[in-house]
Amino acid sequence: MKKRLSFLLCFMITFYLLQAGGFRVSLQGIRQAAMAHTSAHTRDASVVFFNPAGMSFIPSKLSITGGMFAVITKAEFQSVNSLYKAKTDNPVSPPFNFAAAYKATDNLSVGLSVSTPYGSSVDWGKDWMGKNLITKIKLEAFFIQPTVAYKITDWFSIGGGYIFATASANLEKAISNINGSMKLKAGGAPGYGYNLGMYFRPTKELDVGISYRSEVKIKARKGNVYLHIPSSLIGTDKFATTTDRFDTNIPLASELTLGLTYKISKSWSISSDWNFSGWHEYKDLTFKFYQNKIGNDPHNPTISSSPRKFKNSSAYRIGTEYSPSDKLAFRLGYYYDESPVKDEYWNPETPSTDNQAITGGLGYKLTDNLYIDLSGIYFVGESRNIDNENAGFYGQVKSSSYMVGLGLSWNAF
Amino acid sequence: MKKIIYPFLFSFLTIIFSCNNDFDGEGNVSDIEVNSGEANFSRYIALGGSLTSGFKDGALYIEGQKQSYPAIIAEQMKRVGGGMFKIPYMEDELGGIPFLGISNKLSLEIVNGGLSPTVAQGKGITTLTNIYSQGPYQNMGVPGAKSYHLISLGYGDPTNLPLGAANPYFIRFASSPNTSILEDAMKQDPTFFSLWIGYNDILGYAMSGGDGSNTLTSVSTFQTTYNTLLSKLVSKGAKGIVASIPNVTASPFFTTVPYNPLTPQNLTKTNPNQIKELNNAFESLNNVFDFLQHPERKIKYSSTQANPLLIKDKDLVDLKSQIKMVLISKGVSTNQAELMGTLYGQSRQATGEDFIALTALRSIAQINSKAISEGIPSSLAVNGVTYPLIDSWVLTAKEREKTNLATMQFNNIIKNLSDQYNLAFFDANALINDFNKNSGLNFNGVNYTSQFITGGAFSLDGIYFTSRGYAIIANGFIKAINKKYKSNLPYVDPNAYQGIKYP
Repeated sequence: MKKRLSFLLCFMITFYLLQAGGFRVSLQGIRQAAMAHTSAHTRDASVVFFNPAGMSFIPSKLSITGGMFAVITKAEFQSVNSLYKAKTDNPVSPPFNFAAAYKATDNLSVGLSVSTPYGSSVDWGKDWMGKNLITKIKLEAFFIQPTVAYKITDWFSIGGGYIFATASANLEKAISNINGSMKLKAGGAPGYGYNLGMYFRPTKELDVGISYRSEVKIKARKGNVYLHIPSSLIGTDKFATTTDRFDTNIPLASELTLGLTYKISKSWSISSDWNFSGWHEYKDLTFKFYQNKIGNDPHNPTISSSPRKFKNSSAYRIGTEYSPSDKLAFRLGYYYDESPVKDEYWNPETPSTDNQAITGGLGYKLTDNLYIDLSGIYFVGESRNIDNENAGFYGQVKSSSYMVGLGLSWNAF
Repeated sequence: MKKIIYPFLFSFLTIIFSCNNDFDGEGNVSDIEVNSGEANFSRYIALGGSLTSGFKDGALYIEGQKQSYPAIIAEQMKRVGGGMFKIPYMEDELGGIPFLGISNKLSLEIVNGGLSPTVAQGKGITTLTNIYSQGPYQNMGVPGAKSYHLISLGYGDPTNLPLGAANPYFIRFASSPNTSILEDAMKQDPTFFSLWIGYNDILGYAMSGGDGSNTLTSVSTFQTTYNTLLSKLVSKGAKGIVASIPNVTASPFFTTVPYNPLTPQNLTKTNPNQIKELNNAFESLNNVFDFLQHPERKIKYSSTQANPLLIKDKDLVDLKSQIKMVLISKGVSTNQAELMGTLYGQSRQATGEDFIALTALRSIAQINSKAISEGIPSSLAVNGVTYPLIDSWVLTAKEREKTNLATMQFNNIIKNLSDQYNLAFFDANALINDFNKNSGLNFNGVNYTSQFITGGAFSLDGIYFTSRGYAIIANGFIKAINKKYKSNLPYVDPNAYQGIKYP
């Protein structure tokens, strides 16, 4: 009976396929992560990333917070038609976050957030079936966000800020038709954006936040191309040089967040978020090579383009915090994060799946001003089909991920 | 509080961990069992011609045999009771049989600063020594074998070689001089067979440009032969698969050289006045054609557009004597008039309906040495420009129609007989045509087209496939076998096999 019940619950939950995913790394606050990464929390400066307007409600004139995660993800691919399977052997990723907020006047706060909201580190191995699509990829985008908030009334604040982004991308793949391989490396690629927020505290018990982070278009220019190809092809019309340059644009999706936190009692609160990501902007992955004519564009052989056609996606989050004492806090959360990737355009360089996650964590108040937080997330990426006719790539994929994070927050005065 | 927390926590964890994260659908690949369905793969024999033997790059050699489509299929069958699959390997990776003048495989070499298919260096060590004692062999594909050769007794008899009634490749592994390929196959009591035959019947005709040296097998011969083959093969209860044959014009051998490669730039490379001189040289001949009311035979070179090759078309009315007479009446010497008549009696400029053989590439716009040795002046001995391209280098529109018609007729026979004998059918003709489509075919991120060399599907001879192409074909066979016999033999990844090797 219990099995049937839990299976039913599982089925119901699975039915609520919900979204966000792609290569978004939602780990910008250790405490928040333990509560399904919900956003309506103003204990410390970490709110600068989630909702700049929340700075006005931090119970300290100066707040500094920082934390780091260790993320281990694994994706598994299989093809029933070929009875083939492969899995990734990814290195541990260390997304980090740092934020500071300062109340310059009673109503005006300024803040800074530095984080890695987008990233991916995937290694499928050199010889796997999808090697001509990707063997290895590492993407990372740093966001540096100066922000400002203005408290209009004692229950309503607005805020906004600027985003300076810098990204790096390394990817490797095979070029089997000439028994070769290619490595692309780009670093320091810039992008710009802004964020806006409104934070409400209509009653002591209820916090409501609305925030929007714009799309940030990363423009990689003069990246390096390293081609490993048979010597007889070097210098031919198609492969002018083994060290070429490339340009590419990668859109990091805009994100709209609605979050709320409700204090059920002095020691117990529940939070919930809805994130909506504008991944629709990511239509294709296009590389423009400077010299080599290794592209697939019929009008310009130096351009290589393959469709991605991401769709807008959402995530639903629910979390809770229970403090049995002033010093200790227990946190728990659950979220659904839908993949923005369609079956027809699924590509192993972004092994995206619909994810269900359980989060948890502890917080301890070391001193009156200093908090230490520990959190963990386990997510299961549901099995999905790959039906990519464009690449002639078919199969199924599933994934899982463990994340552990540790952070410190100092609310100075 | 505990009363709320612990059940909450417990149900959360139960929910999450009872959501088992197996793959949807048929579940995890490691749990799937390969089964042979209604078929029995314990003794699989492959019959056919060059395509079945693994012939590629203009030769049969070990690597090609190891990666032939029957070897690939047999490898997959091993997972479900498939037995031994022996191959009558050649003695080396060169494939040449010097004793018979069979040359080594082609390989890409740098020639004059560019990559070109060249006969591989070295001396082939394969002889006609019979290796049957190390057999019997399950891949019975014999390069060059036409349909009726599979049932010819004595096809493996060395004494029949000079008569053209034996095949060196079969001589090597025949059980006796008077056996036939079919008999040797039946001796092994196969439980499953593949038969892909008929391509060599058409190919010989097409590759010799229909010059008469190699005739098309008649439809009735093909029908009776194919029926004989199938009735014998199923006679002891074996199941099997047959495949339609490809269109010869789907291969780069016929689609690489354009009918009009003589661009003004090419023609005036060494002599800026070349085009003017050509038109002057043909002026009187063109006047003769006008007079004879055959303006379509006129030979004209444009200085603005790409010009078609000059070809010989034996289906044209031979105007040799008329040309001679008119020229003599205009005061041209008898010898000269005779020469012009002989050279241009059945010539015309090619059109887009004509297909030029890959082997003509090296000779186009070169001096024809045979013509020179016959005393023809060099100005009239330039292949494809002033000296009409010989028959064997051109598949004219008419010849192509004949080829396509025969292919279609053979394929109808193959399909009908496969239905009649209740066998699996693989439409290889359709698959191979797909390589010709603009975008080709994609497998795991690699694009395959019918482009010569760069396309990846066809080997350096322009006719037969690379091992990757054969792997794609093997998947086609496997798909059709699975469909008919409800087995689930797994596909292979074509990119894991050998493609074109670049030095």
